Amino acid sequence: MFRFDWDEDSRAVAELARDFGRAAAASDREAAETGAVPAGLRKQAGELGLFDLTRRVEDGGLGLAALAAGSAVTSLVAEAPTIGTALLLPEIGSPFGAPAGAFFADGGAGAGGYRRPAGLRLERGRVTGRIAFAAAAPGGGEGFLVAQAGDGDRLCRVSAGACALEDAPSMGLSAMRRVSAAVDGDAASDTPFGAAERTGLFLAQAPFFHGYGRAALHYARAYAAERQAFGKVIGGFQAIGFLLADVAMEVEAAELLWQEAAWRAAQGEEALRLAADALRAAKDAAYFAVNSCVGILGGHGFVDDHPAERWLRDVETLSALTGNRWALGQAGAESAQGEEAHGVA
Amino acid sequence: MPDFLETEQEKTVRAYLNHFARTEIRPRSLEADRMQDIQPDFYQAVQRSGISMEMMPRNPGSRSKEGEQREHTTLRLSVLASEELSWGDASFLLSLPGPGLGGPPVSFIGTPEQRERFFAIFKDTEHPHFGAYALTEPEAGSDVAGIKTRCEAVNGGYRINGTKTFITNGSRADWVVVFASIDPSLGRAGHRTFVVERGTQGFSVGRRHHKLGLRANDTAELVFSDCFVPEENLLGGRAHYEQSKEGFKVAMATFDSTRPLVAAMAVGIARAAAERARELIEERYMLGRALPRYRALREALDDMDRRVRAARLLTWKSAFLADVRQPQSRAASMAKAYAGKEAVLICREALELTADSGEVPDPFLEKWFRDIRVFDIFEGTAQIQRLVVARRLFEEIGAKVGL
Repeated sequence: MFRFDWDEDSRAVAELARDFGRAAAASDREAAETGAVPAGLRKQAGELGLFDLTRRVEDGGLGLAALAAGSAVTSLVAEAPTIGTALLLPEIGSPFGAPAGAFFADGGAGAGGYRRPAGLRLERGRVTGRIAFAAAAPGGGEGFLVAQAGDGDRLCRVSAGACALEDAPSMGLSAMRRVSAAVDGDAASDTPFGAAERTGLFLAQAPFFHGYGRAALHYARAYAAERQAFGKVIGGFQAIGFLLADVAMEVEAAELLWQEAAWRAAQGEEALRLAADALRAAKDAAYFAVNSCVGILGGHGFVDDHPAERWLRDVETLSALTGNRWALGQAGAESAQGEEAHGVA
Repeated sequence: MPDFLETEQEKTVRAYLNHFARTEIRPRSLEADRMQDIQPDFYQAVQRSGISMEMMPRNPGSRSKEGEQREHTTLRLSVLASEELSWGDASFLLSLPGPGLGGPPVSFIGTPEQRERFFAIFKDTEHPHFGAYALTEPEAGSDVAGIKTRCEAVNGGYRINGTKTFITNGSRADWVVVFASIDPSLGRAGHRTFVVERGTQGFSVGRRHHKLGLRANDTAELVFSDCFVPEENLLGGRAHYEQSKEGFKVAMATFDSTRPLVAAMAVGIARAAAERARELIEERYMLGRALPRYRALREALDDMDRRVRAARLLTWKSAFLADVRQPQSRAASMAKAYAGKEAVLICREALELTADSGEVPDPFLEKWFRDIRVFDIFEGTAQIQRLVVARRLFEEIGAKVGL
């Protein structure tokens, strides 16, 4: 029988991440302005095990399932979006065996079959090509790269020397190193990166968007509860209250779609379409939430006295890093579930 | 940890009700809509099938007598059933024999004697019996606190005067749960809840409404003119109302348990429309072909599926919270608001996507387009749901914003 509560262990990890996020929140703006997460916070996050949530136990991680790990990511990002994303997004490859600090990038064709004109190719054991935009840990390390091979996408381990990283400026996520890379080197190893792995990737990406959605909802709510206009707080106007209600609904709906997809994937079910849908919903909900937050703050939302404008830049940058919504729709449609739904299997 | 495992019980209920909806409801749906009534042979089919309010439990969210902490599965099963039967035709679900929306208040505050007395008629499976819930008035819809129907204490009971409107199964109900005010100056604290039985002197059925959709379901106006109701029909007895606002709380508690059911109905109709649109489009196009011209259609259909799933999950969550005795007023309103909004859009999109030039629109899609519109209105309008959600959001941070 379906249920929506969390076990104690998952709750404890999420609360740990949330508390870290609350403590880090005061530094969120500073991190964005300086282009780096304060060293002390990074060290503390490492000590708390936040970089190892989904890393496999054999690789020294906690090996948490996507549901528990995602809940923790959302909890942290909801409190300190810019820092939380900067710390944890570069670890997105960890469920697939990427060690801490490795540069993970998806240059494959995608399990859904949407054809990327550029990207990475694996031929005769050598990975070549270009990554346009990816998240990287400070300093950069070896590459864990998804490349197109003759028999489908492969996850390739490539030495740091084969990855010529260049900083890639973008309007958001400025506390995190964003890079482009020219790759040319032998793959030390390569393993299939099929529908199950791509499902895992989508499921790992969505909680960042949920975090931004929650952050924006909570910030806009707090502002609306204090900001006065026409003789009362603006939260007392239905135009504002109803918009907040709509934001809350979209954020909640997106999180539930993700929960179901993550649960089904954990049961071994083919869940690529559900995961692609969940990520797409997460992106849409996060954008709606942050954009509404900017609107509720009015002129204050447009200037950097408040974090709303930064979050708007962050969310769109995060969206660019994780594949656009049309590509996700295509990935889902051409999955096994999609083919079944369209009667073309 | 969130869990989406479908138990054998759920599978059985879902499969059985889907079969019933497919074989007994859908074939009657269009004719019933045209006739604005459901023919007696449907009730014979109901009797044969064993479908009853026992499968759509008559007391959704009813309180545990053994202990408040005990987890129930009642509302979760009910929302599954609600979706499946509404997939067939929501008018038929609303017309199933049973206490309907009148069930929760009788369960919530009725005395053991009242529960026994008012639910007893539903043990008679030979003949259909109905309960109803009369809160809405011509001048008090969303503003529940502003009802004008008056009740006056008289020797041995109460005298009720007023008019109720848009009452589901109103003209055929064996009894109706009626909300009235003993003193309008008391506001919500003045609300009293009665069970008025058919045949009671001074109680009559006004007009039956002709509606945009859900036409096969009886929706009526009820008139109370110096209607005497005996003391024993005051739900919970006089002592129950000594705490202020208790009557109003009953009305609101009813909504908390019924809104997930209504949301599930919207999900059922939206799912039906999305499936029908996909069937019709696949007959006309080859969606598997990688032609850009078909991609927009395919994406539109996929998007409809996703929104149906999201609405279902919100509905399930609100039902789960009710079953484990967690506060769920916000979740119930979110489910109702989201499902209502998305279902209205999906039914329109389904009609639009399949409306080829020169083709007669699909009659089922036309019907669902009409039926679904009320799901953004009844059981609390879209605006009321957002009001509830917004209030709860601010309450969470202790803010009083005057919404």
